[in-house]
Amino acid sequence: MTDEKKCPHCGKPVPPTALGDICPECMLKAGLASQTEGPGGAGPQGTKIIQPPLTPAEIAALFPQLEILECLGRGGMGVVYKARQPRLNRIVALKILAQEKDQDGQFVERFTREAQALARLNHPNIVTVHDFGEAGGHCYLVMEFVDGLNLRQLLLAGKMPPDQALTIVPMICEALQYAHEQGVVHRDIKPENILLEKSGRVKIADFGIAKMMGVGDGRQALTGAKDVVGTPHYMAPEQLEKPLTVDHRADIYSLGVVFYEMLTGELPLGKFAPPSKKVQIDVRLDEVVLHTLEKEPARRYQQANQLKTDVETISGTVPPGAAGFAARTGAFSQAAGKTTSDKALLPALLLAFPFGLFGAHRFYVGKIGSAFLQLGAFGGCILLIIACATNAPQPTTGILLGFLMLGCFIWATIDWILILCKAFTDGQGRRITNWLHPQAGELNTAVSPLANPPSPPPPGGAAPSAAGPQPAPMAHEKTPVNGTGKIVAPAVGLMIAGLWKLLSAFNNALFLLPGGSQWLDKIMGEHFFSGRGSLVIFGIVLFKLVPGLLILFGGYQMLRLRSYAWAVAAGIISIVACSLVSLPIGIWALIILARQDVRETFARATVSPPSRTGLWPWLLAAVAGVIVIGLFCTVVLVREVVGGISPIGGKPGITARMDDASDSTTGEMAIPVSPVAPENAASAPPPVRIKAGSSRPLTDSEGNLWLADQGFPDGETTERSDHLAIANTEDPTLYQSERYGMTSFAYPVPNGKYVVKLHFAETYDAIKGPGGRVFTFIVEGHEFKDFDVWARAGGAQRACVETVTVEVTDGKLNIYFIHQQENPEINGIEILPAPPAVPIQTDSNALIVPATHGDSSKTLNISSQNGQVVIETTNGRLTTDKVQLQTNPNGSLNLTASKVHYVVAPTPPTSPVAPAPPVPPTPASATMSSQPMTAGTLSEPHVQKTKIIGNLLTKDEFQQDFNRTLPLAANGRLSLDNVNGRIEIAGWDRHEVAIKALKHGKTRESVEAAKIIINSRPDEILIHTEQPSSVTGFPWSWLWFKNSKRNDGIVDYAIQVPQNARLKNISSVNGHIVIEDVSGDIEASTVNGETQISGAVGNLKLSTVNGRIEAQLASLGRGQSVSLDAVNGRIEAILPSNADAQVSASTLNGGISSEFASLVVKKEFPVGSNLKGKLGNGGAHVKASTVNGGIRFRRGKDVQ
Amino acid sequence: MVLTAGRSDTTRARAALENLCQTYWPPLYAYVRRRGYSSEDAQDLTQAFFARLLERNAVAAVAPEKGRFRSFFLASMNHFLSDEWDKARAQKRGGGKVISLDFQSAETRLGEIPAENFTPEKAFEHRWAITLLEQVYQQLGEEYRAQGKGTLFDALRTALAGASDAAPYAELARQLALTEGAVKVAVHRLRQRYRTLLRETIADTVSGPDEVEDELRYLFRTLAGG
Repeated sequence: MTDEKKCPHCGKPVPPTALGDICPECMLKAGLASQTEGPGGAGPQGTKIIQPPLTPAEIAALFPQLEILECLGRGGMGVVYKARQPRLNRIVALKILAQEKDQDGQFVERFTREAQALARLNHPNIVTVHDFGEAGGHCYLVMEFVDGLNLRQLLLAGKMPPDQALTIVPMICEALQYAHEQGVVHRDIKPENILLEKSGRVKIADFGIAKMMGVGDGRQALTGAKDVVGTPHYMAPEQLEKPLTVDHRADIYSLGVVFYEMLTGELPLGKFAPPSKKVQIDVRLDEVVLHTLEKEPARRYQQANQLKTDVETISGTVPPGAAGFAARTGAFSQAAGKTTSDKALLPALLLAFPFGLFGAHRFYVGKIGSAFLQLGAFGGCILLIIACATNAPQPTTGILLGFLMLGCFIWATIDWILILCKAFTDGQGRRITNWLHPQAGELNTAVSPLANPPSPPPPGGAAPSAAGPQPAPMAHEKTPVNGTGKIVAPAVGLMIAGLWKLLSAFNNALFLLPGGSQWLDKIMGEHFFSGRGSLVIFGIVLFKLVPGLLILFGGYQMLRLRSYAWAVAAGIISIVACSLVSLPIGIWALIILARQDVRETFARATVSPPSRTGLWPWLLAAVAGVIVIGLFCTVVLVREVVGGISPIGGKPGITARMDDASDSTTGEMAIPVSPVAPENAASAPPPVRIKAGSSRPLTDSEGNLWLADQGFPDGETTERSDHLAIANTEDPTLYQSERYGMTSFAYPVPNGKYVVKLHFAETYDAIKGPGGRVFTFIVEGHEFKDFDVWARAGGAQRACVETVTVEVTDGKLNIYFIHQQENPEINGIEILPAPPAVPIQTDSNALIVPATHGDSSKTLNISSQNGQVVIETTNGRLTTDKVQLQTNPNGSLNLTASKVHYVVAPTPPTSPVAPAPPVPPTPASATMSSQPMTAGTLSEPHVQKTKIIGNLLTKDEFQQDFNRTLPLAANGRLSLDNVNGRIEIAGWDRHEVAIKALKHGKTRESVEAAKIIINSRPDEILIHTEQPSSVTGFPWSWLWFKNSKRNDGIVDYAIQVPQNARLKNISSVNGHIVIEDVSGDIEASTVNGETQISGAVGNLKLSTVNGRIEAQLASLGRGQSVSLDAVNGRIEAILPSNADAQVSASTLNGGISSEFASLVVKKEFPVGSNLKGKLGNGGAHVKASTVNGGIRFRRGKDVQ
Repeated sequence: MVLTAGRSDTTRARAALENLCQTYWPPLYAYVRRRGYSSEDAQDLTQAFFARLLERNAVAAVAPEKGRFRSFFLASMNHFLSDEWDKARAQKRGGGKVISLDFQSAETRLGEIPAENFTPEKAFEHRWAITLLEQVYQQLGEEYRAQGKGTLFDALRTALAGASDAAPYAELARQLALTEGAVKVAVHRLRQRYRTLLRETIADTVSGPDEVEDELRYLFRTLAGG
């Protein structure tokens, strides 16, 4: 021992350290004393210690041209001062970069280059760089001073309304687009760099500074820049992985992260849910946000303005005009969310031309009304083009404008049809030349409700010739001519079609009622309409209402022989409208109208009455238009006011917000931090739930619980590391425990039993496949060895919860993790008080214990008050009155039971026969392993456990279990009817039918739509499966709304019936029927399927078309009758060797083979083969016949 | 430094990581010793632990957001002790990568730390704090010596501890042949630089700047609480 020194300050002995005689405690105490900070103290964001602590005096000395006012804050990149330029009397921001000049001047060179590029950027949404340079060894930038907040502060101040996000993002996009066009990539887009002026304008700061600083491009390690700048959360994946390939799309990714954060308040880390799952926003935004967050740059938005357009489309800042409407409707079948305005632009341009042309022509020929209409539509197109080009704001106005235009568009199109009809078949057999030159004699005869009163007939000219050979007086006769009779029927038909359309429109209009769209969602699939809202439904109504009215009117005109043109138009419209009713009627009407005699009839009828058309059709149209538009406005306004799901956003309240916060815009700001629900009290008694970000929803769309890795309450995240993270940082006890590498975890809990749920999930760095993430952990002594997250989560589902029941005795719940391959990602640990071991009471005399995981420990207490508890395992059955089951991690089964009666189940037919070892009844308790049970014989032959076969689970498949037990009818008769499924029936010893069905399909709807219908009659039970239909929605909707995923619902049955059940009418289309060990009679048929019967004892009647029959008979003897028929199918009959039957089989175009010596095959000329023979005494009858298929008789095993 | 160490591909990162290990091994060694291992075993373990750290580049995953480096080391060591030791022994100590660590002096010092009431964790933290101070002290000294002020530092170094007015200015002034005022300024500067360095060094081991002061206070409690 050295001589002990005492510290002169504290008097304590000084331990030997490299500090010599300095007392470490006192030294640290001296260090603890508050440090004199640089100007302004720490910035609002509280950043790392910045190297150059320049005093205000030093700054002032360096920048004589500036008046330094205050220090605004410090960022990773440097210190920012607010300064004034006295000459210009302008407030500027002076940023002194933390980067010190390096020796070789590389930095200065890069700085100069970048700063010059920045200074060229001149955009309202980009913070302007006024000047830059080097002073006193420090590089600096003089920038525009933005009086306001940054987005981070705004986000911290509380949740951001989606409207606001939708306003901010396009502004950022504009800035980014501009900068990208100038070849400048920001590289460090994050909320801190997005500034919001008090006026509401958004400005992006620090453009390109990241590059200047050499940050984010992999060249991190520059002197002084070791303080990390920017968080990796906002960096695009390629920025981290391949920094050299970073381009402007990295900014789009970063913006996507910001967008997601604005919408949800969280970072999109790991397997994040789409925003609409977290907050109520337009579902179309999901696609936009996810598109920006694509990992592959090539799959992202390629340009910032694409993002902008989409966001604006959704937020409703672009008026959805007529063509926009069409684009929206088209989006049903396509991927929604494409840029509507871009789509609208082209049709608008294309339509503007003919509208203008027709309008001019109509004007030219003196049809003012028609011209007005056409020119109105032309104007609408022009307005739409302007709107598309300028992204005009004012959504509601835009929509009204759009619909006005839509009205014009529809009417003008009708006008076209009428014009064209008249042009080509105007009833008087004139040619198009006549129409183009009205002075040649059109106007006196052509009568259109849309036309003005006809001009007086031009003198002379073509009129007589146009009237054809018909003498003029004939035209005045109202007597019906040949055509009339033919006209009535199609005319009435047209009117009916029109009425049908109107009825359909009315029906659809019901969806506009409250709750209607939810209903629609239910029918059409999840979120099919939500978010699209009333607009689309209204469009559908309109698209039915207008044609319906037109067809009705045209039909009426036809009936009254008033207007040939209207009749033709009605026919065309009813074809175009394309519904089951209107299509044939339209064709019929047009065929009739094309007839010469009909045209003549019209010609006579229409020439005679002086035109009475006048203005009334116009009035009618105007009234209808007003009603339609009024209806629409009411609906839109009501829904907007009520705040429904209408996607049309109002004006954002950003300005108001800014004003709210304006009193603390500079310097240190007191920002209210959004309250986080303190759900996890440290010492709270159970239940204890440990989870991260407790204020947010934790389940994703698939019902998986997601706990950590996406933002802890205090803002800390585990980010994209593959380290284990425990989802709690607020709890000091936990905080003590290790957050890196997370090896052990001890949570103080009162002693007792707990259920511990461990949530695992695949996160950012994906598990690549089976075995991708394997590790071992121990929960209070329960070891989970080689736990494979992938395998346990069921492959593609990527998240799993492992539950274990533990008993805590030392006041701490201990969990240890032992990493093996890669560090696991545990997302949360839930500790719940264990439910008391409630004995399962059952009044039936049997209970089936569900299989448990082999490597998790589970305890199950079962007792039956006045019956037996029957425990089924795969190879045995236990009967007792009270039992406790416990499975151990090593796979063994501990069973404690009283009065055990153990029966070994039958072995599969192929396995060797061993003598039955019946376990003697155990009086008190027995412990046995479920694995080494010996295979036994069929001491109780009817006991057989069934399982569902062919549970094909693919990546995005849903499934739903269906369990039901029915008492079986006295005579045990059961009928099944099944489509696209599998039926398995196995022997059972209870007088009831247990139906277990697994419904699965590609979508949830198809699973839900797959129906199992059970009719229980006194003497039989009928079970029937119904598949979901692919055609849903409206009568005409099959063209657009065909949902192919709907009809893939499949039901896999597993039905347990009494062994002696008689099964008849079992049928399956495209499905399998498997029946095992049923001794009763069986009748089954399949189409395109397979029937497998094994262990049959009773009569069989099996048939198939295009299928296969496999019948294995357990015994065959006196009185039995077996009939197997197949068309285009194969038959395989497995008969016991000691069978006793007359066998006959025949086939056309197929072969027969037999393993029995006494069954000989004879070839028959010209086709087919026959087999006739006898087994034993021939007590039973076996008949098999097939067309185009083979028959095979196989020798089964002997049956005693 | 932690961050630099986290980047795996450069030799620079490698050097940083080694540097890190060189700096922060004594607390871990103390910890292992307190866990009851013999000095030979503890030496082996500490070696193997660092070798493994280097080999797996485990620090790569440590981002500054993650929390305290101290906790990370302790946790990793815990983990290592509970599971990896046997493996590491079988693997011939990290595939031949051996860092030279001066166990002799560590052992000496360890013996000096009051053993009573010292849990392994406390020993670790105590040692950690001292190592940190040593690191700062050494860096400070190097800085001064680099500027040719080695003598000044040697003279003033004792003034690093204790209250600022407690330093024997008059005596120091006499010693350095300076005015008392000049000494005061020099001591002030020294302390200023010391505090900055101290915070910077701590900042390297914690996740955020707001944690620096916390950590500082924690370390102080650790030392004061003994």
